Amino acid sequence: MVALLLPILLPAALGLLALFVPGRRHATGTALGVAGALAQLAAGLAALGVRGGFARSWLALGPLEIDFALRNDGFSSWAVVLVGLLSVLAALYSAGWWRGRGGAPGRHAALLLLAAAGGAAVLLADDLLVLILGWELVSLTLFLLAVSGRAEAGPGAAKAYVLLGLGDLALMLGAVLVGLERAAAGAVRPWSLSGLAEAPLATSGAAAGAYFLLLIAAMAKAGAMPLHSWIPTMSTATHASVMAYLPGSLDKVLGIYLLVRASTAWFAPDPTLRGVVMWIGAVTILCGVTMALVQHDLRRLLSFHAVSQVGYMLLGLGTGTLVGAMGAVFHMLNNALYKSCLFLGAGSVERETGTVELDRLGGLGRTMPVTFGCMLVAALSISGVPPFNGFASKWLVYQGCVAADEPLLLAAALFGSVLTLASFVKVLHSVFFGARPARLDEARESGGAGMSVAMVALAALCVGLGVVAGWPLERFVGPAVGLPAGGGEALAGAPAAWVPLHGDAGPPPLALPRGTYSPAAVTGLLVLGSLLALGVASLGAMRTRRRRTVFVGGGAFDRERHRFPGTEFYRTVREVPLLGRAIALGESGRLDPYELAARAGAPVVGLLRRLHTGLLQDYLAWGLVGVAAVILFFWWS
Amino acid sequence: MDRLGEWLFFYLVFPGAVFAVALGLALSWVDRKVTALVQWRKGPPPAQPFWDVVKLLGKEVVVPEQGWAAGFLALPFVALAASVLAATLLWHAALGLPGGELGDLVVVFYLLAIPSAAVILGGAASGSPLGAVGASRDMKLALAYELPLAIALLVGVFQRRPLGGDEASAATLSLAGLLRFQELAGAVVERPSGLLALLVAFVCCHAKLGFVPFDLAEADTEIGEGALLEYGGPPLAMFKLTQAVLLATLPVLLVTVFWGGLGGAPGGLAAGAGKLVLLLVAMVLVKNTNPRVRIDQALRFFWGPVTGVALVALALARMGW
Repeated sequence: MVALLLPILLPAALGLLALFVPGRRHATGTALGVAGALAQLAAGLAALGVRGGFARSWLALGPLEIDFALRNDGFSSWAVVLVGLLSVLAALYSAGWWRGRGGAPGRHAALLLLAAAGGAAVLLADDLLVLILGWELVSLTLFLLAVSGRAEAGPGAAKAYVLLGLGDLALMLGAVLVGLERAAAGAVRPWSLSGLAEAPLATSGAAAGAYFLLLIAAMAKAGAMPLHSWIPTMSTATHASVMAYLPGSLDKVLGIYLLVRASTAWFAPDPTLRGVVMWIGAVTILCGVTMALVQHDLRRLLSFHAVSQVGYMLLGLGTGTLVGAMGAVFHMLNNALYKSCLFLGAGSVERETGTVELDRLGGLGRTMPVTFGCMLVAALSISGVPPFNGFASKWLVYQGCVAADEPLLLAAALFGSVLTLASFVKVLHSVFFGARPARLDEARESGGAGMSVAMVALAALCVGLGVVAGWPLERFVGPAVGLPAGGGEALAGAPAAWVPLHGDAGPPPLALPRGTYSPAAVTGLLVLGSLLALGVASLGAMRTRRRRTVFVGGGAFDRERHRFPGTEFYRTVREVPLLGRAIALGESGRLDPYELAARAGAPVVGLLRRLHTGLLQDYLAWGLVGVAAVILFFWWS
Repeated sequence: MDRLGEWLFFYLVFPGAVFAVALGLALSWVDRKVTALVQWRKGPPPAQPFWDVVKLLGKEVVVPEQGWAAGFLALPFVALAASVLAATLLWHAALGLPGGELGDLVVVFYLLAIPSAAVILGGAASGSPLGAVGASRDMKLALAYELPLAIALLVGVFQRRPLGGDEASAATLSLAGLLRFQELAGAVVERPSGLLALLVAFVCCHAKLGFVPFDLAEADTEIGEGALLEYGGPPLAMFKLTQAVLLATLPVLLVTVFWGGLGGAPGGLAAGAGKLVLLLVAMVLVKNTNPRVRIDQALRFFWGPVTGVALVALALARMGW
């Protein structure tokens, strides 16, 4: 089963090669990036049909054995294909982006490929330690990519690394607890994941701690509140393709993958833990999108949405029902598509205009049609407007909330998507509608074709997966949560999808019909209706059109003076008593664990700083003290 | 294939396009007539709303040079298609017609948001700053009422009722399921929680229709119709038709979720029609006896007292009241 190694090894090898391409060899660097990503996609597709595993004995710790073990099942295989596809699109986009620019595309491509390899390792791992290695590789490449952004990227990258490092630490501690539990139960390979899946741990005692630690790891990676703050901070100085590929999609895929596995296969979380997950989800949805609503910087705005969307996945998973978990996995897939598309579109806008300040943009709809069209589709998808893909997955999450009997959380999720729509109305107005400032008249889509190809492909997938939502549910999403067949029926209200993930399905109290959603029929009728209405209107005067400038207050329109920037849209929201204060609190960073830790740790750091005198004799003295301590320790023992 | 043919009929003829548009225009005449009577005027003849639309269809289309022309022209048609689809799904369920369901309460909730989104994007796409002001107000108004509306609708889904010696809630988002539950356990509105929720949802639907006192997005004396400022001719006719269809749809939403639907039950269709008329008359009266509020007042009103009442209703519903 060497086929399972290829999605990891191929991008890693080509990535290492690209690392040594000199900065001026632009074409070589980008070509290697695209080749590596294509190789991963091909290897992922080839591995789709491969079932079973690959294992090489690796380490032996006394009676315990650790294998380098990979395996493939209904979830891993297509998740690797998804990662491969995203890698290809990110590489293509970057290739187009670097056209006619300075910088080091080789290094950029190399790091993206290494992240792709790490991601595939996480998804294919059959051993918790292999998973941790891949997980770490992704964190490390994220830091290196973030730090190689603009000059001011340092603090954001450091924050990302600290918070992700906290998550990684939680993952390792969780792994230790899992190993202890399993070893106590007599397992020879305590970290074997297929072994774990055969006998899921009930979340009591240490196992509850282990689940909670894995939850923290997943939250930090995926960016759920309160461990989200690295995403908005790093977004302002990091390359668009990095934002799209890592925090926008790959990190979400990995974080949610871990949590889905932990919640459906490795553990049987009890209602309290599930409640915690659901509430974190709902709070993340509402707080994330509220913060997004008041942002003035397109990248920060998008990154708060990247946070908010994770909430839907946690909420769906926390319901503990099959339909909710399917919603979470489907939303993970959909989010990767529309979020990447949005970040890439923002990158394209920034490339041509030199700014992401919403106040300084406007009227780009006509001069950058491809970017506009793709961002429009992605914006409608993320807002959950039917028939786009975001709606289908949110719909499943809502059904999960009903099955779990959670009206408040359902209301929060419904309202969150209205807020999302509001936020994207602001984006679309600020960037693409409205009056175009004169200095943006020359802004055209001047990057390579790769940029357009990547954005169009993502937008097309957003439409496609929305209209034929039954197909991905049947083929990928159902199997991922342990429903080998019949996933597509969930949209038709099939009872098989409404069972709890763990424990017995009690008989439903009433035999009432379940909610249904027929995406193809709804799309068909919407399109048909629009066209018929257009036909009727064309019988009238629809075809006689005149273009006239708009008038304001009786005078001709002046595009510099008569601007109503999108940033003015929701000023009133800040004036709502409690909400305004909550937003101010969120902006002050007083709720950010990173800032809090920095404040609390300041005295310790101050002390350490004072010890750094810069004098050689001081350091020598400390060294001697250390050596003496070591000698004393061994002497005592 | 049978189902396809059936649904094409539902969507295009009854209770969809032809029926919803005709009924909507008739209801908008009722609205105008009652308004006129309240103001001691005579009011228009019954066919006036229809002739208004016909006249608009014959006018030329003026497209603003600024902004996004394709979207500006296309959005009114999408709005009409979405509102007709919502009307079809709701009437279909409320009348208990055969053919299964294409979408549940959530789908309807979102379909009903598409017309507002279309007006907002259309206003923003017109390139006019006043259109943008109108769009921003419209969006904030939607933010304001969607929260309490969502909570109120969920009262219908989660209300606990004694049933067969046990307590149960509908726990389904299917419209047919909600109606079936009310058949078994009695209409949601019979309980205090249901009544409160109906009141909340009524106010929210009032705002969704853009009626006074929540007409601040169109406010013709301030911002000259706001988002619709640059519209004329057939696209404006489509928005007017959308408005009419919504007028014939939103009361059905309330009746379906809270009041046992239009068919079945004692009195059958006559009782159903009575419920609709009652809701409509209440709307027209509220509309004619209130002054316009400002947008910040609307936000505070909906996110404050209205959401508070909705939450109380939800809490009561969970306690079986």
